[in-house]
Amino acid sequence: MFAWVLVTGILAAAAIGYLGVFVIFKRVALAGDALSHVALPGIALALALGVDVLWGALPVLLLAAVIVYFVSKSAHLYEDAIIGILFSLSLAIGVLFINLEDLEAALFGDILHLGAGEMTVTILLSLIILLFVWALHRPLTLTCFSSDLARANGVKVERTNLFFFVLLALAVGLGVKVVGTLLVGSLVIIPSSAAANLARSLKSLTALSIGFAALSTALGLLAAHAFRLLPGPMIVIFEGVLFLLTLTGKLARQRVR
Amino acid sequence: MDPILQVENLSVELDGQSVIEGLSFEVGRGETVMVIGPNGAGKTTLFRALMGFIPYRGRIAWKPGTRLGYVPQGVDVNREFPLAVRELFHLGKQRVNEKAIEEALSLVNSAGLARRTLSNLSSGEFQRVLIAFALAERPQALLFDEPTSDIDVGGQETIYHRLQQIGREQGLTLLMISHDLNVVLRFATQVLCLNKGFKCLGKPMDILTPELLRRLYGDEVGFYRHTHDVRADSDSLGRG
Repeated sequence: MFAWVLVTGILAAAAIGYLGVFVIFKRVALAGDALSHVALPGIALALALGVDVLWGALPVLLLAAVIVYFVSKSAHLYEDAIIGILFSLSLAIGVLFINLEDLEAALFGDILHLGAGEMTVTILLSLIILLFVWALHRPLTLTCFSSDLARANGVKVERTNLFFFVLLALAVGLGVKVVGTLLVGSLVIIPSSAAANLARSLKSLTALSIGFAALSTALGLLAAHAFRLLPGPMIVIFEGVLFLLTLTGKLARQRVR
Repeated sequence: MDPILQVENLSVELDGQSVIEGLSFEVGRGETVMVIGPNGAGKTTLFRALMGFIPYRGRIAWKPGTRLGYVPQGVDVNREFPLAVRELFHLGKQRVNEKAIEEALSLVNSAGLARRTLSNLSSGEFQRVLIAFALAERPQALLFDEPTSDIDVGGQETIYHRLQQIGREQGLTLLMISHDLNVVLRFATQVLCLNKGFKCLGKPMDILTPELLRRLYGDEVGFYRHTHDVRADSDSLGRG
């Protein structure tokens, strides 16, 4: 059974790690974090209705993704502030309505206790996200690089951004299962930032980001399993270690130059 | 003249403010049109309208089937993205092979850059890569929004010279935003000047007169015309 937990965790982390590449270069790291917290009221709703938390989290996340998309589109709004507001409000509402017993799982994940059905859904959704991001990598990359250059090359920038936020919402929904709402933001940002420390091409950036996400999730899950610890925080700690190692590598390389 | 572009009564608003109003001009095939004007005059906005990126009123008519190339100004471009130069070319509209990438890069004397990473290039190298990327699509008209500063002047002159040569060889029409009036004087076949209500269009020697420049830029700008006529030099405004 634990082998399936590993597979589920690694695939979800890989999907999030892939999207993370675009999150950091679109400079929407905060939006990724906000999205994760928005999941909380959805989880509260799902718990109240007695359904799988994913079915509560996903609709709320998708709605939030559309909101974040429109906020990021409008130059007039204080994007950071609005995303921050969305983020704290959701956290407040979620914490208020989830009872303490379920709160720990909602905040820090409960991947070790997933049922077979939940794991299947998570695995399938992870594969779908990986496939979509791969299929859309050209418009996504060009849009991150320069929206006008993307337009000049026939990319529908607005549509690409909307797709991106929807995929991010889905990925965050999966991440909530693995590391919980409080820590899923780290799953989005840390592996891709660590990869960016070393990468010299999009190919290596992508491979390293997915690799780091998968590796830290595997190590975190194994450590949590072995020492009876919470998996979410363990995964994030391994990610942090990878980030520090790559940062050291980057600084050492700069000194050599 | 065989016009490749006709603009009639073009007006563009950004955030409810009128940036370009009632602009009309024509560009012939193979011409080098340089757009000049102070910051905020709507030069980049004009290019974005010509590329069809933003809504406008009036008429912009490119000759049917014209392929457009675009070199954005640095501000819109994320320079930290660790993208390999050759990877950028693979993101373009058309499929390109390694040979086509090398060819496009060597057009702007940058053949060695294909394996480098964009985030490690100097501003000059970066700009040449963007130009090569636009040229790889074999455009018939190239819109080139020159960055305001941070590129060495010698390198810039070479780029314009190369573009002019490519223009002649391939019948490429060039529309460029330039901040260097000496470059404008040397390479432009037509100059379009823009500043809110004030517009002018004509041959560089007719446009780049001290009086017109004063109207265009106000009293701040200084410009020495590179000519052997001593009187013309003393006529021009001192560097302010």
